[in-house]
Amino acid sequence: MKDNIYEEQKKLVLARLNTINPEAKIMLGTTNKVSVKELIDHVENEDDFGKKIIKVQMTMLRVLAGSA
Amino acid sequence: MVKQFLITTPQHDSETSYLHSFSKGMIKIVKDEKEIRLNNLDGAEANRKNVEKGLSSEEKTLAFFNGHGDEETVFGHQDKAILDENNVELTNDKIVYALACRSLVRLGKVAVRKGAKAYIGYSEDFMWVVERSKSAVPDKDKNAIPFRKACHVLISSLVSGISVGNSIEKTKQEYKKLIRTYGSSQDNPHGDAPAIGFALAWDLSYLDMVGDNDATF
Repeated sequence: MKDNIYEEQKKLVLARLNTINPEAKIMLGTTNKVSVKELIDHVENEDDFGKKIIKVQMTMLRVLAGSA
Repeated sequence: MVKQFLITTPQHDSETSYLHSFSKGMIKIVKDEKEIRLNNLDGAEANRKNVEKGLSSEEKTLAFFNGHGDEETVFGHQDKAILDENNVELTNDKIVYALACRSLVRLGKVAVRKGAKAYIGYSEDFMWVVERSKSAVPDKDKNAIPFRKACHVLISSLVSGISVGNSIEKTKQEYKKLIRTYGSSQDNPHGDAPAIGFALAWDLSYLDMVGDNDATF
């Protein structure tokens, strides 16, 4: 059940990341910048950064829905 | 009694130039306060010697560090360490806000263990989105506006005497308001609104504090 929820969240986050302008210049203080493609790769690879991206996107959705 | 607002604003690369730009409005806020002495360590002045001198003051102090950081260090001009485990005891009895990546994770905890009233910071990298054509002139970058605004809310809350815990809460509310504006794409002049919404949600998630929630400046 938990795995299913995670997979659903991952799909949702990937769909949202694909709506971001691929040319957007996202700055990360210590590593200069990260591209949208790199964000997508991290989520697909399910590494630590990718898991944080999923968590943050879910937070964003809760804020937009007014439940956070 | 006069209080000290100690601020470091290095400006030697693209990232620090943005933080330097963000700090201008905050310095204006403080300049108008008669009971606050502004100790602005700008550019090359943002060095370890000056920081240690400022932190050695007996005045009630809010220390606001802008610059690069990692879990154990905050950096100043030319990425030289200005605050780390070897001098963090100087933050004793002071409130620290580090607009620097990740320093909350370890340095913040050490600071509080060594007597800092509170340490506000980020447990991950600070994230923002730049307007590609304006990245050399941060003051004119419209994509930077919401990030600048959130930072201002935190500093103006602290300067007006609101407790650290409530100042963070006000800032998180501001982040949420901005996410609703940008995340719903109502204000999308450059097509970057979804990226801005994501970066705001990132900063909202990783802004936090250690120490006394009720501490005030």
